Amino acid sequence: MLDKLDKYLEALVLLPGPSGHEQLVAAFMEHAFKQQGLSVAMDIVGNCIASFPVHQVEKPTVMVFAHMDSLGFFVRHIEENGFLRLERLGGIPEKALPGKKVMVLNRQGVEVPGVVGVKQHHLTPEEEKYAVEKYINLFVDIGARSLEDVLALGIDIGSPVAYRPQYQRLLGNRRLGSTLDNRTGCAALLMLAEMLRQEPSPNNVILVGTVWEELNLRGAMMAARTVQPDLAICLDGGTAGDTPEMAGYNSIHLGDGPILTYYNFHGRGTLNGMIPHPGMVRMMEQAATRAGIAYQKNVVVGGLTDAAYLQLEQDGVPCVDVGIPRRYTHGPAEVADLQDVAGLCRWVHAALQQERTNICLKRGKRENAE
Amino acid sequence: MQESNPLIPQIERYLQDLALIAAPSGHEAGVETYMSKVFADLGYHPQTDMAGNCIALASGTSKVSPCIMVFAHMDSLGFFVRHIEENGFIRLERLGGIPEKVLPATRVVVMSRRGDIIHGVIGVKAHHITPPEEKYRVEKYQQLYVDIGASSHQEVLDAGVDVGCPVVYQPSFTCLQNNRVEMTFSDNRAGCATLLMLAKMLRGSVHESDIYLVGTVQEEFNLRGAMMASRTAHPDIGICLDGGGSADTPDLTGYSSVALGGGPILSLYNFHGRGTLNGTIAHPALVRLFEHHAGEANIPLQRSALVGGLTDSAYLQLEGKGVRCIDMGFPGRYTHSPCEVVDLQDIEKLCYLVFRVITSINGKTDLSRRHEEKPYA
Repeated sequence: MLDKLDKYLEALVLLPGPSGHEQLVAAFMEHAFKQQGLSVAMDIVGNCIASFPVHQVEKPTVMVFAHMDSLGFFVRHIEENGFLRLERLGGIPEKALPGKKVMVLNRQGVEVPGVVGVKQHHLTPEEEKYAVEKYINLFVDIGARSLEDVLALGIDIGSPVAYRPQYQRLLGNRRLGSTLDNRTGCAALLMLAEMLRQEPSPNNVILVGTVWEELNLRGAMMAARTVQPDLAICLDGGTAGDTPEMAGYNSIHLGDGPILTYYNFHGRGTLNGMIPHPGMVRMMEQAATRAGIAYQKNVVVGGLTDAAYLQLEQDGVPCVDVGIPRRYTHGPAEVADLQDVAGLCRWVHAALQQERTNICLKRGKRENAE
Repeated sequence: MQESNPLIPQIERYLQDLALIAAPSGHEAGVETYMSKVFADLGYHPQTDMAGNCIALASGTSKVSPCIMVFAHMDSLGFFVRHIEENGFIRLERLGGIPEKVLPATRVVVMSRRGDIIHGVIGVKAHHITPPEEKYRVEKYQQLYVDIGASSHQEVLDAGVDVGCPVVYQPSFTCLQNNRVEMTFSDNRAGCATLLMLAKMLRGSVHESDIYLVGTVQEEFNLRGAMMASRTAHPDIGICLDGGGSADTPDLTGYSSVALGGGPILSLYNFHGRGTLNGTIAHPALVRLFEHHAGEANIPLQRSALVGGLTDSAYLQLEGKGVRCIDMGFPGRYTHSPCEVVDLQDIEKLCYLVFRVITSINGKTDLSRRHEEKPYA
């Protein structure tokens, strides 16, 4: 499984797909889903919705989803001398930007390479050495000499910009990649399609590559307008707390298995997050026990997922957030462990094997608690 | 001059009428009444929905052509009376994004419970007794007050003013040089004027799509008026007409390339970035349509991609199975101040461009998300 995941992940990471421009990733997912015999539909906002050929009317529908988009930038302004100014899309860590490789997507979807400029070290005064530039003051150099040069390349204001795609095998099963958030989730979806073809679920499972997560976290909510799920499982990530500067923040380690999130909240004025339905939490906990999967527990203020909005659809959709540990999130070089992704796939597949009648959605004290 | 800009005189008339109406969020009736009358005089049958949106329909000839909703918000930002001092001064609460630095010594009007306009001014400390450290400090709006000339709480009440009464900048409209005007509420009476102009242009034109023309409410409050109007219109396509800031003044050089007189603005991306967690990435099919028609008609198009603001389309796009949206606008300076400046030529070009696009859309129009010249799979 690790080999397959590695190949899926590499292919996905090397495809550009900032929010609103997920087409290339969606096309890849569609092709891969179809190879597993699923039928695929794209909805109006661009979600890639894959379902198995047999839909059992009396069975519940479980939507398993992962966002296809990454964060990035848009070209805000083009200087007369050919430098590009940026506007941010999503939560960009400005301190990680100077000197980084990027690529601009032109009108035809072709990638044009560039770099985020940084003042020459030899000419940097002392007080600037330790100041973080706001992204508004940064610029991208694609080697153009003039505005005309830039326009001739099919680049204009509004062209999407993202970290230049990179994928590097580190030691063991550790992988470095741009956009591991959330191509690891997408790779897991493709793996799940294979696993469910071999060993189908008694439920109707719909696999969805969603859009707009880094923009406004509402892609999955829009997919639900078509899918109308009874239950939903979001595949994304959690912050690993195992690097020197994170000491004590949490006990999530790369390689120790996938993550179950018991609470998340954005805390930046959004006024949303998720406390997962206890029935969904139980479902995942029980599946882990049955399948012998070690998982890690997570609680966080500072982030949220599409589930925060999906849970408010219809009469309320029971949701749960599961994922894998990732380091250096939202920068151009995130790190994750393929073992954790494999564990996530096995875990979710095991959870999907449960008959709906065995998933208790009562919220209160139960007489026959396990 | 008039021959080369045939729409400008009518646009200017609509704009001046609309600029002089006090209508903050939640209290849009003055503008709604004006727009309903213009629509009715043009032969439409406008209706007002539960939220207060003013909805007129230009019916199309085809049942399979996508339904289009073109909209502009009728409301302006402003304030509410928060508290009345014993000695007759009025304290304010803000409604929308008020730039506090413009407020001292600004003329305002209070809308009384009886529907009267009560004049007032936001006070500022007499210069001669302002200590040096206060000279360069911007007061927060909570510390400001409005003087309507009353000497007691009772006098204020007798004038029909009480807690909860809306307050707006003193409405004004002045012509500057070169078809530019300085006015209150160009955001978004200029969008409303465009809507009325479109209503006029659509009379006697033939088009396949049903086109809803909607003056929306409460944009400056919570950006959800258009979303509510779509519960009546059920559009497939939403075209928002609103302003965009221009960056052609000395304090904004290099921020963007939008300039007054440079033509209508196509927003590729906007995001609020103030905790709202929403914004709009323009639907690529609509981008293609506007670019194509701007090219054919030789209308210059300015592009923008900015964090700091958003429009009703951010919420409209989330309705039903999704509404394909785009934000089209006109450049404006000094936005949200009492003296916004716009160029009537930009508004005229916007009218022509939007008219071309909405009358050209038909059942065969490609509304897919494909990249240009690259098929989907």
